[in-house]
Amino acid sequence: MTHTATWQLRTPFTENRPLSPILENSDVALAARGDARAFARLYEGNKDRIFALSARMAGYERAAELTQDVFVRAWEKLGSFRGDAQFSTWLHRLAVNWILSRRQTWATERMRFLDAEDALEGIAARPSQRELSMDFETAIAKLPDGARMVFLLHDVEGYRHEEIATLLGVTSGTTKAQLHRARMMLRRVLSPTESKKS
Amino acid sequence: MSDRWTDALSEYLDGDLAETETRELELHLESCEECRVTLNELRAVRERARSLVDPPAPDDLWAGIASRIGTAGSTSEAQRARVLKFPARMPSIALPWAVAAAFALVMLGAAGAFVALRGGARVPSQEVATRDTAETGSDVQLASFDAGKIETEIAALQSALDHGRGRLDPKTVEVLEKNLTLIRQATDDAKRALAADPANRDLQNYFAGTVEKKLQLVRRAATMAGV
Repeated sequence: MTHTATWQLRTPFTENRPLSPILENSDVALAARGDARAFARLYEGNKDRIFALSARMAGYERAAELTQDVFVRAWEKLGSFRGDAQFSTWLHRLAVNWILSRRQTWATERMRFLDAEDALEGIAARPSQRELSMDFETAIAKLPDGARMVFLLHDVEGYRHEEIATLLGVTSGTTKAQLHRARMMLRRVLSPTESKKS
Repeated sequence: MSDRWTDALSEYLDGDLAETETRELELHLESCEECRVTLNELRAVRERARSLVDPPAPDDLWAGIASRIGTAGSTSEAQRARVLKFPARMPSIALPWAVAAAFALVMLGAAGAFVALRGGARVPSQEVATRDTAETGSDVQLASFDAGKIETEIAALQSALDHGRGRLDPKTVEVLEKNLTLIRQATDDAKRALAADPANRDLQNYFAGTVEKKLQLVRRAATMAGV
């Protein structure tokens, strides 16, 4: 399955990846032969992206460990990288799969998200544009688990519903419903006054 | 606000709605201001999501990765300098935590020595350090997860902590005990997860990697402590 996001190369990602595809491929080849310095360059070019993905999907408290796990696994699995996609795309998919697999051991902690619909009420409107982004990230973190995963994968990471459904083991109808649920909850953060009418 | 059209707004926004439904919804939108407002709000959410800026990863992640993949290299000269000159470059505000961390390293070193003196099994770190990934490819196994060994080390660390309790800063003891509790919980979680899914190689690798990371820390701490 290929990651076909239309905004896959959004600005932050591109800025965080200093290597050109050619140099990146060269480093992948070197790293696959055991060159740790080449792998370190791949790490430098992708670490922020993977850390952000981990933080949003699993929480900041787990992000550092997950990021390390993802890169260790990438090192181990470089031999299986065929070059059909960019290394960064392959790494991203590896990260998503790993984070989703780790969720199975976090079942009890996920309970705190079950009543998160009420929790979003506590996020106040803030006039400062500078703080808006932080509020939005906070609101995403407080979404119910299923809605958060779908929202992150679809609206932030650019996966298609069919891909998300496969990753999560649900139907695309479910992912569409979860996405709508997440967006309806998050709109309160961006337009709190209007949304209180509903 | 919730009418029969509301639930279709996201699909409409993404172009996922069937042609007939799209036409019907657009007719509805002409006469329903509330739905138009909601649609604009959903669009704003989607645009905000697309423009999120990734937070930077912490600077110190590579050291843990390097130790687990068997290389001590850092990603840049600057990072190498930061690692080597760690005590001198620590911001003053972090000093209490640096002291606590130093105590933790010493205690871990003592625990490692304690385990070694008792003849405890060691994870073959050299095997990891010298592994040729070109040969092993994607089938690399870091090591087998050995909960018993971790528990032995935790017990040794707890024992060393108990012996040093009188001369250690209470806050340091508190930090160490808190971390010991976390390690115990993580070990219990790992045991439960592996009991439920013993054939899961991903989990085996993950937990084995954690063991290796911890043992690397113990060895480094033992060296620092001159054990």
